[in-house]
Amino acid sequence: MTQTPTTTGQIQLRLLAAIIAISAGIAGLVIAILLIKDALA
Amino acid sequence: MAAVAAGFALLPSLASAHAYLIRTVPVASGVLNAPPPSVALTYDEAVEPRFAIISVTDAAGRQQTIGQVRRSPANPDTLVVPLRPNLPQGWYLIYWRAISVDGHPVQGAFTYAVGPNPGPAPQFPVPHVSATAVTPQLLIARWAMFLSVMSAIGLFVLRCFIARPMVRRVRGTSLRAVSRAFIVASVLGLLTIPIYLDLATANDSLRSVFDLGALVPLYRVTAFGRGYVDMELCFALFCLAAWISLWLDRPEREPRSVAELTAGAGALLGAAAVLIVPGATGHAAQTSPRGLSVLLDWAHLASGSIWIGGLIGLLVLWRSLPAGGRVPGLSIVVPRFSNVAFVSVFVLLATGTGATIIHMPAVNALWDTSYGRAILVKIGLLAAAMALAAANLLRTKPQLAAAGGSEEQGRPAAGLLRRVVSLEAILVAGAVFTAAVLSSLAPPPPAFALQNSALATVGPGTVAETVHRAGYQLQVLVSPNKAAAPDSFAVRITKGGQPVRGANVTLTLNHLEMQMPQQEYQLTETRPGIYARAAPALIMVGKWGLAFQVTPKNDPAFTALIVDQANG
Repeated sequence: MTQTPTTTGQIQLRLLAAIIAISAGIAGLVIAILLIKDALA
Repeated sequence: MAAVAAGFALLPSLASAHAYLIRTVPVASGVLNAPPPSVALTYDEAVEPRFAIISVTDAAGRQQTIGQVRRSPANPDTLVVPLRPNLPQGWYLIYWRAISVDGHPVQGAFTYAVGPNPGPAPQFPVPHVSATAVTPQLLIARWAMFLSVMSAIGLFVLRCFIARPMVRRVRGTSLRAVSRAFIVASVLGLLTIPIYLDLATANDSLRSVFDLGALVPLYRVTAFGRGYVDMELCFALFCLAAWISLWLDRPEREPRSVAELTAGAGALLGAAAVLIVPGATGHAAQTSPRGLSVLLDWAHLASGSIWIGGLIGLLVLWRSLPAGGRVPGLSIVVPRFSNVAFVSVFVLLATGTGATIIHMPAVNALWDTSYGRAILVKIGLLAAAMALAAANLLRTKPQLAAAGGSEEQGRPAAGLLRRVVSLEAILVAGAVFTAAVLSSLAPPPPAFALQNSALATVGPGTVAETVHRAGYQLQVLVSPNKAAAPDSFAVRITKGGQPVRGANVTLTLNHLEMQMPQQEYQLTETRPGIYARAAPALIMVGKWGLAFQVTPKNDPAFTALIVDQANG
């Protein structure tokens, strides 16, 4: 179980991880949309 | 996401299903006065020469090509293969195979002759017509890939959005086992996508699967290959986002932090992206209306993923929950999952029905073609799984609710749940297998629908069939009605018992099971009311559509279509 973050450093680490995750999701979506654009062109 | 998908649904639909041969040099069944230096085949798309075969054989089966298939410098859609110089007079068979942009092999054959006196067309050995993209290894790899990717996405949804409240409400429970199952499924997905891509590329390029030095550069040569490379990339990004999301998630706290919400949104976007890829690289993007087809495919895969991943997750949960926590835990998760699964199954049904309507040129294609039969098997498996899902919804869910979290009272319901969910998961995994078969087969060609407007179905063997059209009686004669043989076609046209003289009669031939250039012959009136022509037009075995277009002198033109089965 993940411990409740107590320090600023832990909170910053979690936020950084979340930013990486959302960036990964958006990057995936961009790739998929480009693929559709290519397929339907 | 829905807005983006809806936007694509509105895009115009232009593409045909598979690479289509639109022009040949020399022309099919033509007689040339001088031997051609090469054979040139022009398709409606730029097929890859490294995946293409063009074989030119004489009547004795001797190969007449000298060199590799190349792309024409003048036209990227044309493939050219050089021939031996000064080919002697006689008949030649051209057999070709190419890989469509959606990864499916297409093939065909036709004959031509070098004259001026080529003699009668010989009986060529007929190439096998039913070769498809399906090999057992490829099919199993495709199934394993779909199953692991869909399970991973469904397990993630169950873990982070459906089962999450259980940890907070039932003391001593955790979702670690479901998280581990998700990690296993995601790692399997990351492995099976490149394995499938390697097997498919090896199959299409007729190379060994271990010849990686030659295969890797070919991965991105076709749109199909590029699609699966992108799918691996999208799936890896989804896995990264989902693993981070799991690491950040603290299910014991009800409100989610900003970091948890952000990571969860990233993982959902990644999952949505992964599920776009199969449709964008497969039949969906090649079938009109393309935007709607891709949207239906996406929604179909998303609902299927939530269903299969959720079922696997429930089984994992059943096994992992501690004694005393199983019934209380399941009585929270099962009703939540049942509601989500109910919507998923409804979407699955609606999108599957929509896709079937789009892909089937005629209703009887469902039982008359392999593609249609695979759809029927899939519908059967899903119907059985839905019956079990209904049993869960109507029996197990109320029983678990009635137990009120009591382990003793809820034990029979939990046992029933395990049995029903196990069977349901097996059936849905079977349906995913039929989906793998389905996406490996070519959908029936649009010419298939011609069969339903046929006035008669004839053959094999000599044909003497009488049909009626527009007040005229047509007696159709085909002899000997054999593939790749010099057949004679004749039609005797009468009206009110009198021969119809001076009509213009054209015979058009279309192969109904595979793509070939359409052939058209002008029939000449050999006797009053009898129009005939000898031609080696039935190039291959199978079903042919013979359309007689008749323009009588004083009446409007009409067409009489018969379907003819020609054997070797």
